[in-house]
Amino acid sequence: MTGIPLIILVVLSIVGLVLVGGISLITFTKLYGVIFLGQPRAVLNSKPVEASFIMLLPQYFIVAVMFSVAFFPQFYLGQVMNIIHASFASHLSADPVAFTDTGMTMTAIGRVGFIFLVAIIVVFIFRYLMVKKQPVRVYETWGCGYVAPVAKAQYTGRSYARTFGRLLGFVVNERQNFDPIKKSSLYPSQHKFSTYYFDWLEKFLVMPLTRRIAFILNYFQFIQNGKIQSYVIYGLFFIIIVFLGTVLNWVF
Amino acid sequence: MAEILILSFNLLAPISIVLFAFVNLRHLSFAAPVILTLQVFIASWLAFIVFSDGSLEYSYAGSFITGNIPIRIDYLSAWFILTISFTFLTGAWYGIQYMKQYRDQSGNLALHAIAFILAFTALIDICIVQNAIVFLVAWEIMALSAFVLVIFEHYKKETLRGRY
Repeated sequence: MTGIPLIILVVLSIVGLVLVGGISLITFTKLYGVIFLGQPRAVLNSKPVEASFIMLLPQYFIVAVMFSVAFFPQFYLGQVMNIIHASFASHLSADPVAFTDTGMTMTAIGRVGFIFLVAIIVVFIFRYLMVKKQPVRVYETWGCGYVAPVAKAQYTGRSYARTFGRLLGFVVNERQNFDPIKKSSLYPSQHKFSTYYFDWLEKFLVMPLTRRIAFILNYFQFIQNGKIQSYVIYGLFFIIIVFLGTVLNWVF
Repeated sequence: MAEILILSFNLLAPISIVLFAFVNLRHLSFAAPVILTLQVFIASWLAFIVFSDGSLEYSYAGSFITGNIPIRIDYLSAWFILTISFTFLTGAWYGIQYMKQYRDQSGNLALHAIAFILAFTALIDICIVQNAIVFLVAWEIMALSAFVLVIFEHYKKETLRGRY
């Protein structure tokens, strides 16, 4: 192999994986912390309860199928390859043997995933055994100096993102929405203060591109016009295309 | 064998239409998912037959309007049958509890259950039928029943506005 030496590629991959892992860790800690931890921010009239087992069962079923795809991809890949060969064999240009390597890689990834899941289950069982005899106590999460803490004075998404945001300050810099109180105003009216991250990639690359695409797609908005007559015409148009395709022997 | 399975699968749809018109709400919430599960079982059985023994094919004589009606289940249609069946099965069982909040609308619920069974039957028929006219009939049944499913809360203006 010419170009970048293999060792550099391996090091770069490890660094990349560490970075992605770190971001994921922070993101999920934030997600979990903001949603599930702390005191309730509002008084709820009816206490939320978990859905009944019969509602959860289909979801367990879906998750089980998803896990089976993740852990035994070779089975699904084999079935999909059978379908492709049986249905589109004459249109295939790629060598089917080339997929064998992909299949083996996917099998290895599936196996590692399975071990990872088992490790998580073991950790949870261990945790359960450790904490089951310990007393559970609900305690305030934010009590530094407040005599009468209020529910809204708690950790927010920003509490978690700030450190990370500063680390990548050259990409996402922090800005504030704040109308300063003048020194001359003795009794200031209600003011709001908020912060947000200015992402120049989003501002100068993603948004202009998205706007352009949305602008072009707007020209096709007339297709979804809510008139049943138009939808019938689309059906007829489709049938005519299929008919012409059959008569003229078009091959897609 | 395949012919009997497909026939039973399709017959369950008109049976459920008649049945749902007469059963009370308590029985309906049980009967609809059970009939759909039965249909899913038959459809999945057909798909597995195809995966193990290869494509299935036979035809009905039809009428002078439709002509011969070939029925074929190949690998691709078997795959789609499995995917559609899986989605409808989970949806039906999830719906048992979910629809309980509408228990005061028994007529609406019966119509919804009928439309759900019809949409599933038509979708599976679309995958297997090889005749243009019959395909269009199945397609229209699917479209109309899906329309009825979408406008379940037809008494709300927002629902009617979003029906397309």
